[in-house]
Amino acid sequence: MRIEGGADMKVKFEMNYREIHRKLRNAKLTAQDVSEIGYAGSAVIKMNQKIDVPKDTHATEISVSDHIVQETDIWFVDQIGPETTYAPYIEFGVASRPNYPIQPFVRPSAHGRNKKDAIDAIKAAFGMKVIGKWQK
Amino acid sequence: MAEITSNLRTFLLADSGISTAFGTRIYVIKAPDTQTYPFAIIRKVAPTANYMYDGRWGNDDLVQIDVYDDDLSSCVTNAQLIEAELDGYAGTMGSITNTASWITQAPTEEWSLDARHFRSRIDVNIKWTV
Repeated sequence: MRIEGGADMKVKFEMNYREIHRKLRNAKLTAQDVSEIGYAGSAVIKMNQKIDVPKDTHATEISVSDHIVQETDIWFVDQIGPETTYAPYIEFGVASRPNYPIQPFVRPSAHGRNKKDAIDAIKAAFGMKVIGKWQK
Repeated sequence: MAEITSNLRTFLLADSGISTAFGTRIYVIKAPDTQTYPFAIIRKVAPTANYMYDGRWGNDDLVQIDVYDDDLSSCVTNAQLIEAELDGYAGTMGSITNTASWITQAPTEEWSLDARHFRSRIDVNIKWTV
């Protein structure tokens, strides 16, 4: 990739995709790298859950945490959610009381703009990580 | 401003199989305190409005539908009627246009010891425009 010029009021931008593909192949992301990239998305989801959870005692807010289920150089699986026993009642309502209000905060954290924000964070972390590898 | 839940109710009740099973007992947010089984409640989980420079162009809503019944087999059957009606549907939905819908949580039943009834929970994602 080359960006040059300016003297003629034009910047020339050249990008060789073959070269980019080669560099991506050679980036050799480690499990730690993949984890850090994936965790950028986890952090956004966790933050949104903590923002949206109904707060009374703050116990459920404090309990929101993540558990990394799988962490390899090609795969990162993280589970993010609250730990209090009554959190499902906040999220889904109570079967015995049909009119008990639902106050969802887990499903919305991975929906719509929140989902897009998490994906954008992952993309940005991926870009930073790959660029970091290129410079070495 | 159009919204999803009342239009979803209208759409579901327009289906003969669903209206035969539920009568008109599909409610939005809240059911009457005294109730005949089966009945269902529709609630918004995650409404999302999408905007372009010229304004709102679409909506992407996650909706929860709870089906209640005192009989497990009819609870399952009636929840499946709703699931079949919504999964993959695109078209008119009351006064709005459903551009895509899919089930994100297939019907999941649970028994309530206190209330002596079953609940089947369904989540559906609906993309729609006015």
